[in-house]
Amino acid sequence: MFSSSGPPGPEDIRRLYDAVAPLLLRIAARIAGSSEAAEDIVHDSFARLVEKQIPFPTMDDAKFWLIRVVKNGALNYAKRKGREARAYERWWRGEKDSSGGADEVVLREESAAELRQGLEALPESLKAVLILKEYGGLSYKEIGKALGISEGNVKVRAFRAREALYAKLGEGSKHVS
Amino acid sequence: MCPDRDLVSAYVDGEVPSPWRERIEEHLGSCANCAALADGYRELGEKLRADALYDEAAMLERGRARLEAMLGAAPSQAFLRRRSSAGTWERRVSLPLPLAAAAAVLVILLGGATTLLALRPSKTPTIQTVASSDYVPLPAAQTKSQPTNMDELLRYLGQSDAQVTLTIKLPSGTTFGSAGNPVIMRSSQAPRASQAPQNVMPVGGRTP
Repeated sequence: MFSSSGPPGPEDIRRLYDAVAPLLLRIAARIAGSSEAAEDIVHDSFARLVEKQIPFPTMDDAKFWLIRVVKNGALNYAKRKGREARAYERWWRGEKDSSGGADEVVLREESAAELRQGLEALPESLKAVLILKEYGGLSYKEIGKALGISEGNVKVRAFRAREALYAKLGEGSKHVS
Repeated sequence: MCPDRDLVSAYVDGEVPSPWRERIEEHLGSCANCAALADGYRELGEKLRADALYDEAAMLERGRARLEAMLGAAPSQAFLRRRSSAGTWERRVSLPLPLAAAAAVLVILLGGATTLLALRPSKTPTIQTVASSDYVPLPAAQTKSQPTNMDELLRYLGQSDAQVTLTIKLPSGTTFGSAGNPVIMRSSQAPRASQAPQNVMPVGGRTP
């Protein structure tokens, strides 16, 4: 809860940052595909919050407002930058990882890149839900609040996103019931 | 019978309420296909998360530094925005009350004096009290000398929370002519009617 009923003050903003910035940065980076862009998007969202002086009733309201703003900002960024082309470049460059042997890294990078591309190729509505679920660790209820959709809708989208990724990865056939 | 795949997906997310959660759990224990599906959904999430692309701790730290910089600069930025958005004519000029009162006295006195002098006959100047004020000088203990001219009056008003109500009564049946610049002085110090220079307008002061 915020300390007062008015717009959040500097201390409220700091508390809010500590509480949601890890989540916001993770979501933004995954959607935008860039840590620099994610940092800018998250910073801009806080700047908007400070500038607009919106009197949020609770910290949760501010949190969901931020998630929505960051999600939209990151999706716009991804659209603008032609995400897939850069994803391929990254894949070929083969991002280095400190752990594991060379072969292991290559193998892991390949499947990770494949998965990343699959995620990027998902329709926005499905991608946002899956990212908020898998990277944000939010509940269906929270995702619904952040995206302005019902819990039932979140459930359907999470399922469809998984199925679509399965299909992309060619793994779906292994799990047909 | 196997549950729908979307139910398994929701189950993996911990979003299936009791008692359905327990029933699905029981089914997964006996159905290899559904168990594999649930594992597959979980694995998908684990794979996505394991793909550590970003140094989140460093991002968080940089973000915090930027936030602090913004919060530090926010008040002055907001102030500047307010200043620049207001046009020249929208700006408010504020004066302390004593100064404003003194300015009002000055305007009224000068305006009245100019009018009076303009109407004053040049031949027979008569000193009459045309303006009086309820201005109460500070007790002697607080001020060495009571203000006798406008500069001192302004200084006096400036250093106290004085309020001044001024009444100007124009004597009827008198005609005035114009001459020189008006001067404000105490009536007790005003020259007699016969000696009064034409540009002197005494102000009637009430002393306690």
